[in-house]
Amino acid sequence: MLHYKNVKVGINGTGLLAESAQVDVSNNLIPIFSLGKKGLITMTPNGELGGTVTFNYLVEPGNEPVNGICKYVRENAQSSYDAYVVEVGGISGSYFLESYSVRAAANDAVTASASFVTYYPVSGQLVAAPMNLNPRNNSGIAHAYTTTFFNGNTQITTGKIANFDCSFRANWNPVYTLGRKEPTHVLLTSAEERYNIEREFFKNVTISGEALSSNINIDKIKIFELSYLVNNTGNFIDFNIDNHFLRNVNVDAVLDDIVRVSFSAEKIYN
Amino acid sequence: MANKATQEAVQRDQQRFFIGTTEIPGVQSVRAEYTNNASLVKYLGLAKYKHIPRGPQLANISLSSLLISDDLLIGKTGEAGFNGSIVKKDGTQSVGFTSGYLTSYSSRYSYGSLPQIDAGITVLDNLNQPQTIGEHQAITGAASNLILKIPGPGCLTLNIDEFSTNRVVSYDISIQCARNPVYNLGSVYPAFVELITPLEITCAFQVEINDYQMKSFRRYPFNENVQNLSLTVKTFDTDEQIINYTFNDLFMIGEAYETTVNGNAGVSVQYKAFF
Repeated sequence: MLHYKNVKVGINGTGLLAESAQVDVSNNLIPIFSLGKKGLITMTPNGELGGTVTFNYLVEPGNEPVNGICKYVRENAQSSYDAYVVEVGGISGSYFLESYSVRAAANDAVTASASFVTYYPVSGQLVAAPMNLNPRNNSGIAHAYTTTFFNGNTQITTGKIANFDCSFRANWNPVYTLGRKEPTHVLLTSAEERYNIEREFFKNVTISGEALSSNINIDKIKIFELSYLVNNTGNFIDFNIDNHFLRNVNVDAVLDDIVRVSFSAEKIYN
Repeated sequence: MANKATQEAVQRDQQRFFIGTTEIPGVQSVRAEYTNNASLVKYLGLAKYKHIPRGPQLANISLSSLLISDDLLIGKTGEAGFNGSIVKKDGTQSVGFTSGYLTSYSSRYSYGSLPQIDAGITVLDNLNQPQTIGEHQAITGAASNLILKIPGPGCLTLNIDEFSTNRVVSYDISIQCARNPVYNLGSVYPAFVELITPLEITCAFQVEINDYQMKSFRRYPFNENVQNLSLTVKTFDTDEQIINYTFNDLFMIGEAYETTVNGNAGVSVQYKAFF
């Protein structure tokens, strides 16, 4: 029996403050039937072995591996990729980042979720393992309080954002050759990134689309660790809103609250 | 020999409660409190418990006072916030708060006691912080200039449309002023604070009667009992008005007729209004 307190969660050896983690592995067996035989002949593979691992976690900017992986994939969309070693409770495998989302909401800690996909067998057993987590103090958490907005190098202090989330998705294509059960390599076919930003102001959507950054006068979001409140500096993760096209504006009017406007913009990488 | 205490306790005569630079008269008790917004964080592979701030940072003040002078709290049911403090007699501040918003107000009276006012205040900026320098200087230099206006039994007049009586046995008027502080990313303070309207006002009265006629509860919803109400509290000696509550379009939500061997017949009436 493995208690949650002994579950090591890590990516390439870097631990996460995961509130939940799921590992899923499946094959692609299909049943084979034949005329003249009523019963099943056999089950046979009809596709690759695959699996996913997903996390929900609190973000520590000084200890956040997924943001860096995401940034690497975005900035090297034409390159080849190495898989990352992802481990949950002693079960590990070689995974590719499939999706990553970060959410910052007023008065709350910044949360993230990530999912990785694999086309290789996973290994290991459920075992208790020490968490290779640098025991940072509470001031290492990313928080709404320490979310900052920039236009160029100028920090924006007015017309702020109530909530934002960024979601990234990469689509992978494993390449197989005859005589091999595992892919020879894995290609990135496309990737997309979407920002949802909530403000109090309306801006119309044009048929040809516009850059979100010019609409909201913000082109970068930096989320610092909590110690930024005291030190005015510290580790951070950042998000560039450059050439993300505004796709949707949603006006939400509910009772006992101000009218809120959500902007949704996306960028395609390939 | 036991050591004598070297510091005296802070007693009631040494404490004054101010909103802005105005002293609130007749204060019986004030409680200023906060609990921080620390939230326990658990995670897989828990190496060390953590706590992080989640939710807004708020403080609350509850205040109880006797209506023995002008009521300065009823005017705080609007949009604007205010600062305040508890000040020692020597002018030093015990507790200060900034950006306080009245969230509840009630004025109640029952025969044989003085009218009492209770207020709830939510503090959205800071507690135990000096007020603005100007306000603090004005407070520390302020002499107590309380002008007593003492009400007495029989000094309350209630008018509900055509019905009028000065035999008010008790009343209870409460106003809920819900606030919606709007927060943005990048700040621990709200960007602004909205007053959620309509305000909900509840009025309950108990009066002794002679020819009062109860209404039929079957009147609702076809013939609603909507009335205007005015309650005046005067001083017992000079008949000077201390406060007048006037509410229009009050909607009667309940009525009770009560008679007992120990007293006179009376009715209790409950109204609600939204402004």
